[in-house]
Amino acid sequence: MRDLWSARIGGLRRWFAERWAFFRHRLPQRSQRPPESAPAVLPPSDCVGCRVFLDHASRMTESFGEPLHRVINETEQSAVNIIGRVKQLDQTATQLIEYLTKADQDTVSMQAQIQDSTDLIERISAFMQQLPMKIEAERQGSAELVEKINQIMQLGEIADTIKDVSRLTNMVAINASIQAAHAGTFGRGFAVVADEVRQLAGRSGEAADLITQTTKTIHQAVHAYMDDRMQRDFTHDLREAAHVTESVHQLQDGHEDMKQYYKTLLTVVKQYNSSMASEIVETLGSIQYQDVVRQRLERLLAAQNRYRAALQTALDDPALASTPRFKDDLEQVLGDYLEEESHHGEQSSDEDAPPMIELF
Amino acid sequence: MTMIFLADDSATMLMSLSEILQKAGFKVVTAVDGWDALNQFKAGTKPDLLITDLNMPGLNGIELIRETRKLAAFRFVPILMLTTESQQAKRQEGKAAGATGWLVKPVAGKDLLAVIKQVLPGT
Repeated sequence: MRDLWSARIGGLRRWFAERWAFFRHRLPQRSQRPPESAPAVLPPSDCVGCRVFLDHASRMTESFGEPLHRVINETEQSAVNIIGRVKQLDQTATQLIEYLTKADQDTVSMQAQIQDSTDLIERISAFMQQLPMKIEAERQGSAELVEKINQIMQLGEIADTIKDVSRLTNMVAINASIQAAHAGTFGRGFAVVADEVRQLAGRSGEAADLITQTTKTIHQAVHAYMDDRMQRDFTHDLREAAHVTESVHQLQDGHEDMKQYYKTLLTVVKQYNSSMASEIVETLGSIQYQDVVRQRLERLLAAQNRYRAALQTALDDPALASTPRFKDDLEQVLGDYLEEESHHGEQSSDEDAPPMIELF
Repeated sequence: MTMIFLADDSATMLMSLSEILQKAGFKVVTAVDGWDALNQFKAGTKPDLLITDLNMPGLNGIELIRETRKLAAFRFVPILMLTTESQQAKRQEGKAAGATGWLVKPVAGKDLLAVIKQVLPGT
């Protein structure tokens, strides 16, 4: 937009400069002007056609005034509206930047939370990696328990010894009863004792059998239970540990991806915002062209008023229109306008032209 | 906050420049012509920089600079002319009146801010 205006105004400036260069050499210098009494070279002032022309030219230039003023007002109003809209755009951009700045601050806090979570996850991950070893240790602990149970099972062997002792005792008691019978009356008391010993040996054998049977039952039951539980729990725990470890790693990767994505997003959006802020400043700067155009139109209006006044003078004094002075006055209006115009405008390609920005 | 004073009879100029300068972090005070500006200075407004148009009704830009330089508080305040006028003779007139620099309209926002940075180091 700015380049377009620059090109247009630059073109206008060149046009005015060329016109001024053309006219300045043709303008009669004050000192060279012919005296008032010089012979008239223009048509007679009472020429009806000339009066019609002067009158029409005067009304034409007068009629230009109002539309040109309207152009000034309308462009100014449009410029004010554009500034208002750009201001709103700028406010929106500012709000976005404020939001992003806050989001950026929140990210710092969030990053701390993510870091905490990551640390926690890493600890969980380490624990899960050690879990199989812990399970193995537990399994060994269970093996020790089985060993203790096996030691209990040795009670069965003791029971077998008891049974052997009982059997031998029973045989000794039977022999004692036989010997007591041979002793007759003298062996009767001994026979009673031998019988009691035999009965005792029988009960000891029965007790030993019961112990053997019971320890076998316990041994089988405990072994069956331990084997089943250990096998089931160990497999399950290992599977769970592997699953949790994988989930933890996925979670960790997800956190990292999210952090990187958010960081990239912030950087990109901030770059766009910065670019938009620069564009807003340049757009506001370009609106100065309205003031440049306004002043150009005001100079044109002023020249037009002078031109109309000159024509009006000729209408009021028909004799004047026939003199060279009238022509000089009109040329002077044009010359002044072109000279004034050449003092304003864009950077000239002329190397001697003063710079657009100059610090003294 | 650094205060910049704008004197211009164009509403467009005052609004657009105010936005550019406020966006750059400056406090902006405005006047619609030379007399308005001078009255505000006499009433105690003391900007760090004055940017004035040349052609204004009443007191024009060069006259405003002459009057402003008479005020003790404004002897060393930088003053920039911002005008469509590019004639060398006018520039010399402005310089003689006490202008610090001359900028021909339209001036790009970034160029204006660069000039301000030069005349107000540290902003």
